[in-house]
Amino acid sequence: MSFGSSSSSGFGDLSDSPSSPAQQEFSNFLEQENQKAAVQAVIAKLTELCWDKCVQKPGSKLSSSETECLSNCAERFLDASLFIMQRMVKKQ
Amino acid sequence: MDKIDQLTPSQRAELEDRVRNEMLRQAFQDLVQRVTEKCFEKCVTKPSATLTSGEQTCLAKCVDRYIESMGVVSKAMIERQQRS
Repeated sequence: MSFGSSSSSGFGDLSDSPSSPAQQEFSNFLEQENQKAAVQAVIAKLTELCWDKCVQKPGSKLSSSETECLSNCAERFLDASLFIMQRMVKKQ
Repeated sequence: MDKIDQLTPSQRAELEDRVRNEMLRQAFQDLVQRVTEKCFEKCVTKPSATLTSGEQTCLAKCVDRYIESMGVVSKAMIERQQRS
């Protein structure tokens, strides 16, 4: 996740107004790559959190209850983050 | 950024490839580090003089399950996205 992701400026400062078509295209490319990295970073973070909560002893396959726990965990984390964000915005 | 204009299309394509490769390399490195940490935590609870065969079996399963878990999490996220 080291490139960009959640931090405000990734690499390639997109606030520069790109003048030429080539610059525009390249900055689109960078933006896409940064976005991909950001999604990957969320997946990595959620996996880490939910792994700790859901998988006690790694077996030869994920059990159905582990799988269910992982997918609930990921969804509830996203719900929780939305919920908290809305509350923080309201409180401001 | 204005140096971009000095590149030929093929040079730019090469630059983009390099960026992509670097991102991949970095993502892979991060993953290896995280999996090592997580699985060491789970499997090597009392470090002894060697990495025992039991620990090795656990580590191997752990890595596989971790990757599997990533898949489950990604799938849950994609399905959520499609619902909204």
